Amino acid sequence: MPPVDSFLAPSGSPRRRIHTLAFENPGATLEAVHRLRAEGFEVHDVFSPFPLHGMDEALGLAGTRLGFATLVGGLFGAAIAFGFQVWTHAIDWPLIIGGKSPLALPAQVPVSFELTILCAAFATVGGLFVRRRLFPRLTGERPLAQPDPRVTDDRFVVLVVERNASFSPARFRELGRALGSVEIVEGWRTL
Amino acid sequence: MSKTPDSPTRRGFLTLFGIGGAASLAACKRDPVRYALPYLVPPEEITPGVPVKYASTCTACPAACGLLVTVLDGRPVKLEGLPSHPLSHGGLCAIGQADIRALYDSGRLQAPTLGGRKVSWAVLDEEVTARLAEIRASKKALYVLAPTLTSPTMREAVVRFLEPYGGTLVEHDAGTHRSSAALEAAELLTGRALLPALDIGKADLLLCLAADPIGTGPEPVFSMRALADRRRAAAARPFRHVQVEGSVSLTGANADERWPLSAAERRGLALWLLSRVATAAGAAPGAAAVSEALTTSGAARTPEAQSRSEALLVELLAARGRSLVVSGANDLVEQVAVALLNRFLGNEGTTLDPAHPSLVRRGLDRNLVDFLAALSAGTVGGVVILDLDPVDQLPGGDRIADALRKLPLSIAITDRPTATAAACRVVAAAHHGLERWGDSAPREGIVTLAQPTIRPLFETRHPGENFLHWSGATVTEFRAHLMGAWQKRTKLDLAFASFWDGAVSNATAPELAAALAPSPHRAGESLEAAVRVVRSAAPAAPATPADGIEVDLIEEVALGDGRRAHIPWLRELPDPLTRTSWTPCVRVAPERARALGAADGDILRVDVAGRAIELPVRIMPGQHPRVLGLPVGYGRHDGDADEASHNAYRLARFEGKGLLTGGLFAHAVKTGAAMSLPLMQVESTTHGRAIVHQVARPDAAIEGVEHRKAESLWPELLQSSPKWEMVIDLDACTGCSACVVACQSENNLPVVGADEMRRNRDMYWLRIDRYFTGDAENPDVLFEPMLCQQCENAPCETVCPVAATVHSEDGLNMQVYNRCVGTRYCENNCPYKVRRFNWFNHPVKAPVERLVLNPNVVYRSRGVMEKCTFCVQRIQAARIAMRKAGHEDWRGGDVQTACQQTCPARAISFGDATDPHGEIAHLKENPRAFQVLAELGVKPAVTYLARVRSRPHARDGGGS
Amino acid sequence: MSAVAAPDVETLVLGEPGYGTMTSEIAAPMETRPGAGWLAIFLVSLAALLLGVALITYTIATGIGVWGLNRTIGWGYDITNFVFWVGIGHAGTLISAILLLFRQRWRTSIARAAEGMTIFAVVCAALFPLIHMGRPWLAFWVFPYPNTRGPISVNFRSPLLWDVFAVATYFTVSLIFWYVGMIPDFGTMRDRSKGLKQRVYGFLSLGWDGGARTWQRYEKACLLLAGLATPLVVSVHTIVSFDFATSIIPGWHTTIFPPYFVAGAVFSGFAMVITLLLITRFALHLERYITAVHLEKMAKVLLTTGMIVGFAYSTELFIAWYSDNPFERFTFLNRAFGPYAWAYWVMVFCNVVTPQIFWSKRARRSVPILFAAAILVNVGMWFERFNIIVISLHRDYLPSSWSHYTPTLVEVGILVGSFGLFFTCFLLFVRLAPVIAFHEVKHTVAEQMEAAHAAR
Repeated sequence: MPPVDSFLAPSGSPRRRIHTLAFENPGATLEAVHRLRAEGFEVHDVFSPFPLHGMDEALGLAGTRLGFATLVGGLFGAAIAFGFQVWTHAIDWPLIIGGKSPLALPAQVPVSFELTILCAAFATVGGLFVRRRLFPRLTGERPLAQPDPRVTDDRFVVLVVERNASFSPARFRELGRALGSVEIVEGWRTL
Repeated sequence: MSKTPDSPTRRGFLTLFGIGGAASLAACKRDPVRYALPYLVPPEEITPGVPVKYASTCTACPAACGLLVTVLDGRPVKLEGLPSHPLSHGGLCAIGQADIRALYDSGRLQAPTLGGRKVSWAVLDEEVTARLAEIRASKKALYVLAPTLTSPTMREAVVRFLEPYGGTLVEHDAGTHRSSAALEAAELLTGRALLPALDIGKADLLLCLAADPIGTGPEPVFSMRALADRRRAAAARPFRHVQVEGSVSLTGANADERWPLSAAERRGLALWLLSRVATAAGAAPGAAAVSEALTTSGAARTPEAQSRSEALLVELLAARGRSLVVSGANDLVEQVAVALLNRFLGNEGTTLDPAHPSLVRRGLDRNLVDFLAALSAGTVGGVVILDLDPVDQLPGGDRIADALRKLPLSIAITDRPTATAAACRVVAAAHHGLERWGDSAPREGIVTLAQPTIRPLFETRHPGENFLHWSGATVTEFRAHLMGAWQKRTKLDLAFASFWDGAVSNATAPELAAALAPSPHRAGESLEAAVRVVRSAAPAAPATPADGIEVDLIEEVALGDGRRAHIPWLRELPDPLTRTSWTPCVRVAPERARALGAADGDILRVDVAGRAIELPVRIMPGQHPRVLGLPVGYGRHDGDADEASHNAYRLARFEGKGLLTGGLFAHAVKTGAAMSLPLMQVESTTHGRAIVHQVARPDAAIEGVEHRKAESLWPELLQSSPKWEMVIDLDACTGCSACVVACQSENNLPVVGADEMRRNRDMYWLRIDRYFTGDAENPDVLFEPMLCQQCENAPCETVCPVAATVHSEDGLNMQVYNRCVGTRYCENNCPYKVRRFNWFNHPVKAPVERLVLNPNVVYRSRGVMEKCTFCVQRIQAARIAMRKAGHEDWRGGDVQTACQQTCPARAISFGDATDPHGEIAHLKENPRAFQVLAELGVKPAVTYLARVRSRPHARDGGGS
Repeated sequence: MSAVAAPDVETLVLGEPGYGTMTSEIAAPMETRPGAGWLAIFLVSLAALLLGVALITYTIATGIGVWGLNRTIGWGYDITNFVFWVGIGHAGTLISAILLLFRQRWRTSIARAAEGMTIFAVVCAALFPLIHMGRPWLAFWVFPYPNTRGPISVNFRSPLLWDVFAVATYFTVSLIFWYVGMIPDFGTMRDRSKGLKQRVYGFLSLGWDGGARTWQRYEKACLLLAGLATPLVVSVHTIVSFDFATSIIPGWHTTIFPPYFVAGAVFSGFAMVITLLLITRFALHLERYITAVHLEKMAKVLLTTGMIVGFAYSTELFIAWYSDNPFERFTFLNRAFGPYAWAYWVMVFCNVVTPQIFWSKRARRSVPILFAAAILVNVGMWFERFNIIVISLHRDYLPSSWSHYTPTLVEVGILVGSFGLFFTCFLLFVRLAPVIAFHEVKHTVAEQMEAAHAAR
């Protein structure tokens, strides 16, 4: 079957040999990531039922720029709302309403504000979905990138990629056991 | 009838208009009436959608006011007062306004009937002539019973009809303002049983004893205009109006001073005043005799009543020749006393004009009594009853009905299925006034003409033509007869045709009056007789019943004597005093209500000499504690399906040769039942709010109201001209409610019915707020017409989410019906609460009744908000006319709103406020000028002028 | 174990369950057949909902005249219910957004339910401005869209229009926030279910993988959304209060309304949250996750906001007197002693007096007391809106127009119907989606245990 999650990797990339260590609590997982990287293993990703604090640093992930999308969205909303109100009331079809001047700015604040928020929210979520390729899958299959269904339940899985020949499975398993992994698996996977 | 949508839009209306035509009348009947001549401008052929105005005369009551009928596509759509009319001066009362609704009423008689079966006119005439022959043979008496006939030609026709049978014409004025006694008094003193004309304009002091000239009296429109003009002139020449009455009347509510007195007390006061005035008059013929005759009167009065009488006497004497005393009581002694008072005060010839008497009241009770006697004695062979309903409007109506049924010939000429019509064998269905030719002489020296403005809608006949047919006249077509009669009188033979056209198109001409012979003086006028009457009066007050309650039968402004009680517009019209609608109520003084333990809506059983009536209580401050006011006109067979038990006429009483409708001794008890009244207004006081003002002198400024321009945060948006504004003079406004009905007629306001009125869901664009101020038992009454104030900074506009209400450059607050989604936010945010929401559709069921709708105003559907538009359709019409005439300047442009046009007192002014020399700008400078809730900064476009109450020692009014 | 817990850590989840246990316990409602309790409540709600639908149909077919309104009082139950329901919604956003920003861990067990409540409350609220229109079939005219009726646009100065935008935005953003919050949990459900269920949850989970990168951006997104929702929730009730504050009617035209309304909203919202959670806790046996600690904290919020509201009432009275404006003065005297005085005092009792009981710790932790108090507060807050709207309108400037308002059975029925709609939606929600956020509670427990071990 076609890899449903082929989006997760640049197409045409080769299948790689992977090794996973499963843990039962956050602490051990975090410790494992530190040790593995210190030992020169390439930790590709860590799967967990809930966000693990400190994992970003442990994996050396760069910060996200999602906030930028939010800002742009907000500004866009504000501009649209304010402009449209001015256009309808003062330019396109001025009406005498309540004896107030066609350009009654204070009255335009609420709508402008609401649209600012609305567009900012859309931008944020949009950003998240696009960036992380989150979109409805018609076949309820779980993404192949996910090494183990239990990672959404009670498992913490560290996924290591075998880069080159210097990778020693023996060392890896030994280290895994030392770190208290409850399950050590190896296999092939497109990344 | 074909199925029709509930709420006609303008297009929908036209469709229905067609259906209406098809269903109710032959299409040809709606094209312009032959011979009828439009006002001033000669008629081209009818242009669809372009109104033509015809001058005519109102037939709703004998006062015969001038009419200006707007005819659109061959059918009248609006009645207005005729400005050139010598008495009504362009004013028209509520009942007159509603008369057009009567024309299109689906309940009208639509064909003649014989013993209940529809017949052709030929058959009917055959039958009648046969019966008449029998009567002539049997030498039995023939009577014509009619209201006062102000039409000389009609009267002639009737008299000629009666001649061969030696028959009698009995004139009777229904209602409670019959002037029988007054006529007799006049007969005694002037030799003619005619009411002297009142000239309020010349009076400085008006003293009314239970008279209601401006409310439901003989000539309300004329009197209202006269009184208003006199009040306007009061700045230069002080004027005072004192009212003495038991039940609050509209006139009383407008008086500078009200003194509640029971009938007996009032009569005592009249006699006492007479004796003192006579003494003061000294040398005047008869004065000595009178003062000698009355030395004993005026006993048994409380000290304060005494001092008040003294003060009144002083005022009267001070205003010799410039005062005017009027009594509305049907009591010979009081009327003679009043007549003598005027004579000894030297008012005859100044404020009273016996030379040109009023002809709108000719009914003498003695003739009626004789007729009824003959009727029960069985000496009567036949009766023709014209436009009257004795069965429902006289006590013992049932016996009259029986008698009528027994008669060989009983004819009812009427346009309504009245109780009398039901009792008569022959029913000659009559034209409505707007379908008739006619003439009228409401006063000696004045003659007006009436012309039809629509072909007869049904198989009806002109009332006069009946008499022409039955007296075998050669000319039986009334128009021809009318022309012939006037040709004879005016003695113009060749010139007549052209003269006639002019006369008809203006509804009057001086030659007509000149040609009419004044009614003859009867010899035997005698002061002695008058003095004898006065002497006969027992000085001591008559015995009062156990619980000391007496009943006054009263007429309400809306229903009058009840002859138009079937018109929904009038049924729904809230009474200016009680603010009740649809329902008759007993008016009870607060003090009496406390004594009875009764509150508004409690059912009261009022028993007069064994005849009882049960009505809900309405507490009426100002009512005399011992006097209950009961409205007549309700509960008639013809009325809008309400219980016959509400007919207060049954409580009236014949006494000697008079018919008593006031001062009837009665007992009253609570039945324990209660109902919720359909009230237009629940709160009666201003709660100390400065929303309506009254001042002591005409030139006095209102306390605590500064006349400064409201500051605005925003630049003036309405720079252009014109800016429409309105000024309402509360000192002229009498609360008569003519404007309310005019608005209803002009703007297609729906009638919502009693239940919706109970829920405070009236649909009036213009209402007349009524506030009591001052003394709680006998308060001042303040009327304040309230309509959309067309605020410059309108709170309603700002809040509408869909911009359905916005402002026009000429200062109108516009409501865009088809844009409205009905959030009612504007209604909530209106400080004046003048916006009205269509809670339901208000379908007009009968097609013929849709003909009354004004096609220039869309008929609103459910779910939209509506309100006063300052008659924008009229403004637009005027603008179009102006543009066609090619000038862009409104100055002098003549736009009249419907309410302004009809106002008999000319209390409403409307126009362009940007014209520095205009009426509006001028009036706004008046020190009495104020705007309601001006402090809110909404800049209303309606300005009011404070009410004036002139008192010996002026009490301050103000809202509080 | 609570003895072991360090002072700075409260026990938010009882008895340190394993992550797996938590998953199955929380997923239980979605995987088991509904119990009699749930079914009973659901059927009652459904009946109420159907009643409401029938009566709304009747109203629209016949005309607003079937309500008790009149020429003086243009709004009654309709807008009262609108403001009431919008208010209810606010607690949800407050818990999920504001408390998130303040890093209040205790929110995790209740946030999901509260957010759901927000959505359904706003749906109920949005219903009323729609059906209160005289011509609801033209309701779309309140949206600015190109049209053929001349370039007529909406009136952007009308507070009602502001409402349209505020409520619409509020609904959309709340919905997004709610859904985004549930994505990982749908993932969990996907991974533990089969067949159609798996397809559906899979579809909803948008291919969630639970990787570190995903979690990183996910958390950031949630933080940003919370940051947006916080000013939004404040703005919404502020704008709703503008409906009255910007008008000209005494009793409406007052500057205190925005804060007063927001406080009131949180007050009524928390009362509703308590009501719902006590029911859910009982019906779904979630005592382990919704503990006395949660109840106590919410009780404290009730006490605080209740006192803010009370303060607002007294400020209103003071200003009415201090303004020396006769109309203003009359309006407030009329509230307290006029024909509707009873409604005013019901409000004062329920909103000001009732919460005072929470000065006592035992009351704060007692389920029956909490439940009763929450119900009372809901009643009181409904009456607050009724008083503001109806009592101010029925006696305004010109005494000639004064009137009285009595609701018809139709209006009462529609109110009942709105509750039916609300509870029906909520009960379906607790069966179809995780009413407690798996990942958040697990996170909480993880921290709780860390802290506990640290303390050992």
